[in-house]
Amino acid sequence: MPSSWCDRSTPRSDPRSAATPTRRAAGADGRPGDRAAAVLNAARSGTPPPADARAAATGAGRRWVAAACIAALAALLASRGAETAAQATINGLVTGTYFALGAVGLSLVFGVLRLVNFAHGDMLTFGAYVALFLNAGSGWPIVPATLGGVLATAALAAASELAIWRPMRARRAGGFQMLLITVGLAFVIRNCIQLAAGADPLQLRLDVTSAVALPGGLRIGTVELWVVVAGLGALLAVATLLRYGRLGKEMRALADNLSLAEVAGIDTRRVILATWLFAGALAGLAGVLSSAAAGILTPNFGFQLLLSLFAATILGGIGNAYGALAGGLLLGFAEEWSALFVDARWKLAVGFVILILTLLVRPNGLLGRPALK
Amino acid sequence: MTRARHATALITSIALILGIAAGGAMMTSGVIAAPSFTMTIGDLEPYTGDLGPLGAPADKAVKLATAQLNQAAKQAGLAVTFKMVTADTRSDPQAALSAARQLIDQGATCLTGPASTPESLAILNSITKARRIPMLPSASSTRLRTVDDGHTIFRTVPPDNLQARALVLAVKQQLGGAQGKTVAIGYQNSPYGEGLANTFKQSWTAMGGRIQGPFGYDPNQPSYDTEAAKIVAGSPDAFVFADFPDTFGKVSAALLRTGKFSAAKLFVSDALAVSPIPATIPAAALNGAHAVNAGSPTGTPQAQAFNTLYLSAPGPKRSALDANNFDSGILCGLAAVAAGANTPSLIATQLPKLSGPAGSPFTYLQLAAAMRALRAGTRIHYVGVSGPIEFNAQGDTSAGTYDLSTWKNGALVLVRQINAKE
Repeated sequence: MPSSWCDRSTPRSDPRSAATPTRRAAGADGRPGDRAAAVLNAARSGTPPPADARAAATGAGRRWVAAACIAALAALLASRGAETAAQATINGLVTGTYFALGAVGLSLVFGVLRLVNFAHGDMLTFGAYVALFLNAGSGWPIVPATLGGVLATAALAAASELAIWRPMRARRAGGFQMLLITVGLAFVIRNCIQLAAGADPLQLRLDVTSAVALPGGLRIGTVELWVVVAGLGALLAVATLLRYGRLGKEMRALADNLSLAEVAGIDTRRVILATWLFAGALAGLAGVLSSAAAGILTPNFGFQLLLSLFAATILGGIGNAYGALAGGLLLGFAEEWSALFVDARWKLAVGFVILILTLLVRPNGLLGRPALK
Repeated sequence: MTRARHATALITSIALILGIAAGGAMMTSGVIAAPSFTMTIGDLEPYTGDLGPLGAPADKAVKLATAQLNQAAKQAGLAVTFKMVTADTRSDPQAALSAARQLIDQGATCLTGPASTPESLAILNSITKARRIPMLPSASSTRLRTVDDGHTIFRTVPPDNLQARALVLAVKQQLGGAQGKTVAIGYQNSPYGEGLANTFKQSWTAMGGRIQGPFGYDPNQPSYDTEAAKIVAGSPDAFVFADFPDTFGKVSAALLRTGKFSAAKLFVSDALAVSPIPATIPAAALNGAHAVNAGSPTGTPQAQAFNTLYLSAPGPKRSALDANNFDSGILCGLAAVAAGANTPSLIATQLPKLSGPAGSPFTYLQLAAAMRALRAGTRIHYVGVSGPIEFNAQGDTSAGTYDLSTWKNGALVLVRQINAKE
């Protein structure tokens, strides 16, 4: 796994815009252009890109996260006992899995396109409702219904690229305009869902009350177990693809310097479209899994998750897909562990307190690399 | 010019004398001039959202009340008609405010509903207090009485301090006493849930019982498994929940997943007293559980007649607070008749005068007679389906009758009635 496949911590103007000047590609002085050139070379040769000076900082980030998690677990074990701590950890893993799935998609889009996608939460809802329609409405089994939800959300994301984002980039729209469009798109998706399916809560055809007994008196809901298995499987597949697949390397090249990637012969339109397809598919899967775990689905549920997804993205290191993965899981654990110490009403707030504290210590997030000076 | 002035003064004097004479005649006969107006009752109900299951039954009750008012006005020979307009509050304060504006724009001068305290507060602060429009919400939280409502809020639903007391009595009887018994409390983080949980805790501990929690949770949490594990820990003697259906659907699934939860030990508040069990709540979480909700004295003629009336009309079956909503609609209409005008501030002034033992008692079965009495200037006491309406100084009814019901095969069945004032 590379230290950071598309780190956004380096400040820049708007390289996604055609007006952005192309950066220098040569030299060995650690400038962004060098990173882009290295990634480009890696993309061409099929070998992993070399680590740069900032990787050391990311390594320190990992150690910091590991130390913090171990300390939290030790405190948990000492104060609440092994069974309670383990049960809360299992619960956190369930929540963290779909946080991570949602956050990785959000981070992919930001990494490649520098776009803060406020419609991402509603894409989760869209995927969940398509699966609901296929499962509860048309009687499909849950697995093909989930695949239907994933594909439909990927198609929606790709359609948004073709119909909105590509034309807007061609018109050299600024970041603020793009952000406002994502907010508008979020409302459009949500209201369309509400119009089609109503505002009443609905359910997938799943038994959300049964549970699997684990050793040591621990339990996990049957559906939740499948959520964890499917979610972690999908995350592993995405990580592998980003690390070893040609598309992943091309995405990294685009993330580092779009203009340079274009000059080097990478079909940037295809890669951007693929990024949207990936982000959409992950959002769809996160939507189905989270609604399956929660047991109830309303048109607002994705929007309600959005803040947590943003928190996971920022916590991990904005624009860093692996960071988003770690941030999502960590946020899930933190929320469930915190419920053992403070009133559960503050569970959501605790996640954000951790985010603020982390950013105070590591302003680039857990796995984000510091900007070059 | 001088002649014209004299003529004007003469005509004015004659008109004044005739007016005074006519007024005197009316006063001596005890009959106030018959008004003629159409009154619009605005019904704010949560047809969708967290409280969705309560919307349709409440709407049906207010519709029935409007029909009864029209029928009675005709029988009483009054040129007054009543119409009802309705809007969905979506169980959301902002949507409720928008719905209230819509109804008031349509001419509503008295509001029945909404069903929750946050919705009621949003409407009160933005519209009804300033415009002196009376509102009869079915929200029961005591939080609603911590604000200055300008004497515009009246409740036919007893406040939650009485409901908490009814819950305490129900649990106490089930457990054979409170001394040493542990009750785990779960509640949704809202004025309703928090108020009920805290009041229950105070009453239960005062009786020598022990409390596990109370455990509050947010309705938008992604998971409730850790909270569920804390609630069932140590196998408490009973569980008490103050929640709304949507959130409880998610919480109850988590409770069942612990493998340590038994519906037979569960007592829930009125917002969850829905029948049949909604699809969003696992049936295993409620079948065998008990619910407490504001009830109607079952033996009275008006309660029996309302039961027949409600069940014979198309629409949903009987549900929690339907009788209270029916009474709210009737009170709106009677207050307008008493005011002799479709003016919100006058209706608000008349509402408290319809309650209390000072007046002659009338039930909805004698609505025409009640209207005639009001037009004759006689003070009446409306004895509602939900019990005698006796507003206190704050506008809350002091009736304390609660139904204790249990779910059998997905439907609520009345077990007995509890007088929370015992």
